[in-house]
Amino acid sequence: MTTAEITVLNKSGIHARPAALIVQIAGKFSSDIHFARDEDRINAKSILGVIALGASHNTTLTIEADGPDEKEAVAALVEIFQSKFSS
Amino acid sequence: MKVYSLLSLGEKHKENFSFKVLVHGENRNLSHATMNRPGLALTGNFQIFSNNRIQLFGKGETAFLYQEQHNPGLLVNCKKLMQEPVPCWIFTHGLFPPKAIIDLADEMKCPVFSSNLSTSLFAIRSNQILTDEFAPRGVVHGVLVDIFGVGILLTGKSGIGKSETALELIQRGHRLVADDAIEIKSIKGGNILLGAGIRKEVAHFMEIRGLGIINIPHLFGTGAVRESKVIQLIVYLEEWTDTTTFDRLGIERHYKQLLDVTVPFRKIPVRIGRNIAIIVEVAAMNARLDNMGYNATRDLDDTMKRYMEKNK
Repeated sequence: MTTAEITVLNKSGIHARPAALIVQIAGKFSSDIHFARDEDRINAKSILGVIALGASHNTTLTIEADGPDEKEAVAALVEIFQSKFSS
Repeated sequence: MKVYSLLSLGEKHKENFSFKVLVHGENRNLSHATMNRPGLALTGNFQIFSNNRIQLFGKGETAFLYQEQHNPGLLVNCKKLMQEPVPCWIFTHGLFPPKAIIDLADEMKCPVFSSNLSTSLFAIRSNQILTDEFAPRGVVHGVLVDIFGVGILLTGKSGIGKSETALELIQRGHRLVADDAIEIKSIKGGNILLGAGIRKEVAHFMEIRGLGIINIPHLFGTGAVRESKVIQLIVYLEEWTDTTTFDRLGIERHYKQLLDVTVPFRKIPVRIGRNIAIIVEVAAMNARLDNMGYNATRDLDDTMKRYMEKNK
């Protein structure tokens, strides 16, 4: 399992559009990918799950990926968080 | 271990407890669901004293407090009983303590409440509410639907058609509890698994590939949704391949453990042309028949055995 801590950098938090981008990128990998926030673990490939996180500006999340391409998956997700979902 | 802010809990369940705040005090935390009757502590015996529990004062304890003028050590013991981590004092039967005790609680910043309920009723209610608040919880991925009153959690790999199946079930008059991220809680002392959406703002939206996000109560009416439901059957949708074998008779019972609660479990193979919604609907009715003690395979088997016996 590969994990990484990330912070939501964009001002408006993970609303519908960033969520769509996240699941689109997560969906390209075959690994199981989750976001952990406090006690909750959310499937990163499910758009409503990612929206339900309600992650606002400066929220810290943990990405957990488990599978054959886990390292690439975490790296790709860290990148879109750092770019504030501008792609 | 979970810790709750006492005031937020008290506010949330105000109606159930019929609370009155006698001393506001500071906002202390609650980490245990059970309560303590402080009779022994009041007499000065603090051995094995449960100081992290709510201290419950019934008629007896309260009457004892009113002897405070004749009992010089009592205030000292009370002071000890008000120190953190004691979460609060609660008086039942609408009783309240003598003024000296109220003043002491003010000084110690110990919250003091009074409830109109009897001691036993208060203990029962708070036990139920607090054990549910402190119940183990988790999040699972799936869709929770209520079909003829049976709570069914549809699970399976992403893209297998859980949401589409749920949509057809809603179209057929059943109810959606939540799509995607389901919060599960083992309540009533770990016998019952209750499911709801992890966030109620999101629970009644669904994602249907090709359509995007849809709002179920807006499309189908408020009757098409509910807030929470006990999970009575877990259905796993599995891709049908030539090599997998499936239970053809349905005699064997399979179970799955979620948060240590045992829930009946059924695998349903998915293939183009199979109407999964109808199969799940029948699974719900069958689960009800099963609960009533009827099993179709056993019935058929018994009938055929009798037939063969007769025609020997």
